[in-house]
Amino acid sequence: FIQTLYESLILDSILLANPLENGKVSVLVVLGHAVQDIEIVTERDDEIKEKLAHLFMAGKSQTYNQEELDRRKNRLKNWLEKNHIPVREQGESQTTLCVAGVLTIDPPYGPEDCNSSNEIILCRVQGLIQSYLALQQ
Amino acid sequence: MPSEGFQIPKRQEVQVKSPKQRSTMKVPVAILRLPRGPDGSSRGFDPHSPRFQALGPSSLPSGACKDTANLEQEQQARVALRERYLRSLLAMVGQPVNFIMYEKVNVTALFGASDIDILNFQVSELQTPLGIQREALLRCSDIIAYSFEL
Repeated sequence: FIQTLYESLILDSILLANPLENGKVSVLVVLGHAVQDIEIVTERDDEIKEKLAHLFMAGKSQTYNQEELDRRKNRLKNWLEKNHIPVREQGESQTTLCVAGVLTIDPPYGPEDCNSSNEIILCRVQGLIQSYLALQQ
Repeated sequence: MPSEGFQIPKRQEVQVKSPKQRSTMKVPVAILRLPRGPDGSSRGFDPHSPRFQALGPSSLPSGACKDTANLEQEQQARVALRERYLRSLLAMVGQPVNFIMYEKVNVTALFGASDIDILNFQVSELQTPLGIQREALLRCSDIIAYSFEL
């Protein structure tokens, strides 16, 4: 009954996504310690791969053009600098903001785009970005 | 005055406790693991901790043989997979989740949160054969699989 073998990760847990008739997706997660063997039955086509890649990325449907992203980045950078947060640009085309070397903010620079292994810094910076967005509205 | 009324019982309490009694007080529960704060290298956790040794660079196959090009590639792949897994946990928040556990235990609960090492899940309204438990922690090592709809 499982149609798509999907992804594995930390602790090697396996996520199996199974599209339902009503348009919803049923997700079964097998925890890493309970996995005995993995066998890939068939490789899926690109369309399904694309669909799976965006399965949990809900709310990221809004698209921005390059100019807009640049503007958002610079405004956020200025806001963080104004709050005495050390921030620099990094990545291949300088699109990622890096805060104090431990947190990255990817386009489109919302609270959900922050990544850090330090949850205290993550929480603080997400709070800052939220208050910055609230201030703009 | 209300402030005086508060101070009087406090003074009495201090007199009852002698300094000797206080020094012999034991810690009620042994502390199993106390995470250290961010260090100078700012990884946010101690490189000698069991967690770092389990998930750090030395745990990667390419990390063991010091293959820097492969190491970076593998780390990138892990980052993508970890992010997607964490987002799947986020998507699960507030949803009814069916947990398949050992000994044919099959329970449903509303997912709340997970700890950083994915060792425990916090759930609400856990529907057990003995009734509904308002709040509960499930050990991930007890869970074989869980499923939810999106």
